[in-house]
Amino acid sequence: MTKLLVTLFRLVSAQIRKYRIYYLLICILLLPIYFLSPIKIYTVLLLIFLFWFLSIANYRVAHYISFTPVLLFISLCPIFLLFGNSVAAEKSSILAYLLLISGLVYSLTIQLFYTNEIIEYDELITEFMRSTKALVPIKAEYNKLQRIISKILKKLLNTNPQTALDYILNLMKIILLLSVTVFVLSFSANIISGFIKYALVIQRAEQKRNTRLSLNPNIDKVEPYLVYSGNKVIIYGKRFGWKGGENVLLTKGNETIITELWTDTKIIFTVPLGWKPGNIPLVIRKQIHWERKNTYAESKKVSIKLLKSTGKINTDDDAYFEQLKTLSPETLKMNGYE
Amino acid sequence: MFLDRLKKNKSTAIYIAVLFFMSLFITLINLGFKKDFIGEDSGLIYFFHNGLSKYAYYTWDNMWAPGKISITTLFGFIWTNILLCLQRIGLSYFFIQRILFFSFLFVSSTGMFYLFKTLIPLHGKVKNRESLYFGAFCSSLLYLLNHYVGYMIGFPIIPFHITYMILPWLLLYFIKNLYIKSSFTDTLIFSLLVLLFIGGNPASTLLSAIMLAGYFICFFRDFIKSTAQKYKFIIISASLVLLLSLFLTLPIIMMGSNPYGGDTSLLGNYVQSFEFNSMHTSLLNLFILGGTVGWPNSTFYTLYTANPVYIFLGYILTLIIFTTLISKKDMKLKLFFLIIIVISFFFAKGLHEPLSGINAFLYDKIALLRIYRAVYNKFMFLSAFSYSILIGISGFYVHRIFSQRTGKGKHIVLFLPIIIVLYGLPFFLGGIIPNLFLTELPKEYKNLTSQISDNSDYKILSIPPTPNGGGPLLNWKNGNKYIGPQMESFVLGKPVLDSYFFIKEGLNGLGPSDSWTTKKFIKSFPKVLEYSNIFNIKYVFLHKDYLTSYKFNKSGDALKIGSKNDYKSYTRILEDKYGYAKVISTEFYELYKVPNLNYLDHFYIPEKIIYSKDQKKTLYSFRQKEKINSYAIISKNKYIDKKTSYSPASLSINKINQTKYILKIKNAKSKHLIVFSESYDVNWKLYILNKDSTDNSFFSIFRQSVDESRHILANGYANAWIIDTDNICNNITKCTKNKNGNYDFTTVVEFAPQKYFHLGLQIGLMAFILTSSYLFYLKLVKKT
Repeated sequence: MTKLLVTLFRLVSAQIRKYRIYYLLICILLLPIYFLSPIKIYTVLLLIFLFWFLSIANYRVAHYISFTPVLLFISLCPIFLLFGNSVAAEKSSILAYLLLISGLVYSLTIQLFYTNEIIEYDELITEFMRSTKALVPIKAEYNKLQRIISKILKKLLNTNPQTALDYILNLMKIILLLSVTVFVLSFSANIISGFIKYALVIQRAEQKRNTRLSLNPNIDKVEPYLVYSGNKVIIYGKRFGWKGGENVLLTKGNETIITELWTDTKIIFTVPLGWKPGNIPLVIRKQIHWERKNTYAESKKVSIKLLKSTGKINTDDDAYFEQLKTLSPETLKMNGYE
Repeated sequence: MFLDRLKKNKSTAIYIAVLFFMSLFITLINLGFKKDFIGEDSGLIYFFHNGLSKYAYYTWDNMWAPGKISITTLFGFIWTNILLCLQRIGLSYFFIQRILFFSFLFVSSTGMFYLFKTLIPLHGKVKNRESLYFGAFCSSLLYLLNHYVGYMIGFPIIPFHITYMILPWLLLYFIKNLYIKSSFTDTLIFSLLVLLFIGGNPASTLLSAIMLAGYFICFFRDFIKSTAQKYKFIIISASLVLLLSLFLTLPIIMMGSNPYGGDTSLLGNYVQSFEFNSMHTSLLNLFILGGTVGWPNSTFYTLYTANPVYIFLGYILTLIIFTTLISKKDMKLKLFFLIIIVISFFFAKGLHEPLSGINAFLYDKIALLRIYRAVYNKFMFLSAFSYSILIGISGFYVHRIFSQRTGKGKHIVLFLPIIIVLYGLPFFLGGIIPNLFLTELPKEYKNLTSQISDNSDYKILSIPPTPNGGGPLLNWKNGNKYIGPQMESFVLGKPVLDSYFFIKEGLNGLGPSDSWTTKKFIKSFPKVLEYSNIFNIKYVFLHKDYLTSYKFNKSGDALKIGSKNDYKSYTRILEDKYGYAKVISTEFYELYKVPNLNYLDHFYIPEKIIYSKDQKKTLYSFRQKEKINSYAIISKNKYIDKKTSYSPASLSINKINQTKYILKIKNAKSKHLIVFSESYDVNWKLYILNKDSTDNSFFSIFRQSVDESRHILANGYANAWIIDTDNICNNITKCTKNKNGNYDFTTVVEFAPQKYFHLGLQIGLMAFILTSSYLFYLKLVKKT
């Protein structure tokens, strides 16, 4: 079994090893995407980290090679800062940090498991040079493209101008062509960048909205739903805040309810005698500091139903006793049903 | 002998002298010769040594009325005693501040110097000692001059600074004893260092302990190979630390609970605090060891973030540090410190990318991590430590290469210390400390104690409430300000109740935001005065020097003062409406005396009992303007109710200290209550003394207290005991019967952890004397 697993492992690692040049190339290709994208693409960042680690691990480079890009990206930080591009500087520092981790993990692996260091970076250079041969077919395609462009130009322009008018016409055609091209390009660039900006605005607004909403108190459960005056009601949830440390309120319309227990996840209060029977809306209000201002974060409205304590027994009273079967032991105990 | 050693280690002496003069210069240029360095967390606690000794030697803090358990202050016991010693030898706090400031810089940097000097030869051969000393100098320089130190010296030196100061020394004696050569002296030094180290910030102490454990695990092979008497060291140092720290551990163990008292309000606010502390901790800043919350307010922020030369210098230093990784030598050691950097960066960056989600998840799920929510402050000292070691290694390599050169070429090595000093230039220019903390305490405050001759047992109400109960910001003219915890308790030497207490209690619908702008509070002030009667308040301290809203500039000065200081509104209520007598009036404050009629005693036996399910609610609806000592509000209980025969007795009190009172009860019969107007805590115990027994016997620690079920909450916050005279006086050894058939007896009210603190302290002292005597014997007697 062990033998089988070892063989399998070797086979898999050999397969992974086979494509190591591609890991390196992908890694290099991802770099401009990471730096040029207007938003922080952390997936790309993690891919760079992963492919860089696969590259150094499969080439089994000397440990210092694994740290070289760290130095490169750290040195890019002040350069970006001086050019006023703090976003790129931050991206560079993040990349440096991740590559530092990959270098650290790699060096630790070498330190712990390989007593004789295997250095194959010569092989890396050779392989890289070899891979440039792959560019030959691309060069042929480029020549083809060049020929097509010259054909188009010949059709558009007078390639054999004789008179001054021919020259003027050619010049006008070039200006017109350039203007159209610039207009089309800038127009499309504007549309694309507009889309990107719009996407960014939407994303930021969404993020902001989510962040703001994440501060709201969240009520998960209120029990009992049907109550009489004097019953104890427990509100379960999260982010209620802490009484004493923060300005927190439990309200019924504009009225503040006096609570007996207030924790970040639980509130207990007694239904006072003075409330009128019917639906009682409950809202938790917590003071937060948002965008440099003190404001209130509110939970969604929940309600309990206050039943009449006097008069004939009706269906509501039956429902009250029916709900006791579903209440948590804590609520039952609090209300004297043990 | 000392001179011989100095001659031998000429380079060491020169480098240490440089560090000494640098530390001295930085101290003098930043602190100057005129102003005090006060405020922040410590406030004025070190200024008035009477308050300091009360704070250090007692497990109950009655200075923050109505009192709180203060086991955690015992952590800083050694530190406080060092300060007390300095005060006892006659040094004024003005000098002590400067000594502490200088010590922080000098002790930490020399520690790093000696650590480096010991650490490197342990992990590889050192052919050139000069290169080693140079490397050590570079590492100590960076440990002295970096952004983290800039943040640390920005506020008065307190136990929080111990970690940074002692960590290099601790690691030095750790490796010395475990990996090189152990001696009794070194073992004792290590144990004392651990003891001092415990006094630092618990979160940082824990991290440092993890780092030491990490070092031990990573270099376990070296430990096995080492010829030092390591096991002897482990046993002796562990026993010594255990014995010496009994004053701290014994009360905690005997209490059997969290010494922090489960302050959940702190945990409730941790998310906002975590976000706030992550504000500037992007990796871009962390790579240059910057990123503290108040960084943009510092004088030199623009220099470090906008000046091209300084931007480059910062990252050049980082580059030099990471360039050491290129060399294969000492790889294991370098990787160890790299791991520390990577981990501390990960936690210190807080909510910054990458992997911010994981960070938030960890902080959310692991409750312990919440004590690290001030991410920069709690993690970056490890990075500064590791950076210093790595830059030392760079210096060591560079010196080795260039020292072999002849001519001017060999001076090229100086570029490294020059870059460090150049980058740390603001330290030498002054202005690192925010002006808020450099201030002059007005003489009106200094002389206040001498103006009050009342030595009875009472509390003082301080108004207006401090913002969120966190202490005031006071304006003392001529640019002198105070920001820190409430200071009156230290100035007056009496327990002070911050009027924020009533906001916290939600009186009249007041909320924390009302503590910033006092308008709403003033409306509720008459109610506050009525209710404060029940808190043993005898005086009202009115600040005239407080600010209500403020904005800071880059030097940390309050720039904009918002609403008008409205102290006159308080004066009108106090004098005109309630007729409080003005005792003292200065330009900064006024002191009023509560009319005698309304003053509640610290201990009293109520004549009438009010039963209530909601004591606080009853308390706030209770408007008794007559003799307030007549009443106590309690909940129903099995021992005493409306039907029980209740008979008050007379009481005389002898205060031994803030944790112990002897009460003589006279003419007692049937049942009555004893109310103690101090925050309720189960650790307050009441003992009935035998007629002929003295309270000072050693066996008093085993004394049986009154049944805990008779210890109840009264007045919504205070302690009360139900005393059943008939039951107690069944035992004739405890009571004396009077002619009228009533009884006299003596009780002791004591805060139990204090006994264990004393016991632990005695054992610790004994252990210390024994070990010191043995050391003396080894060093002098045996040698001769």
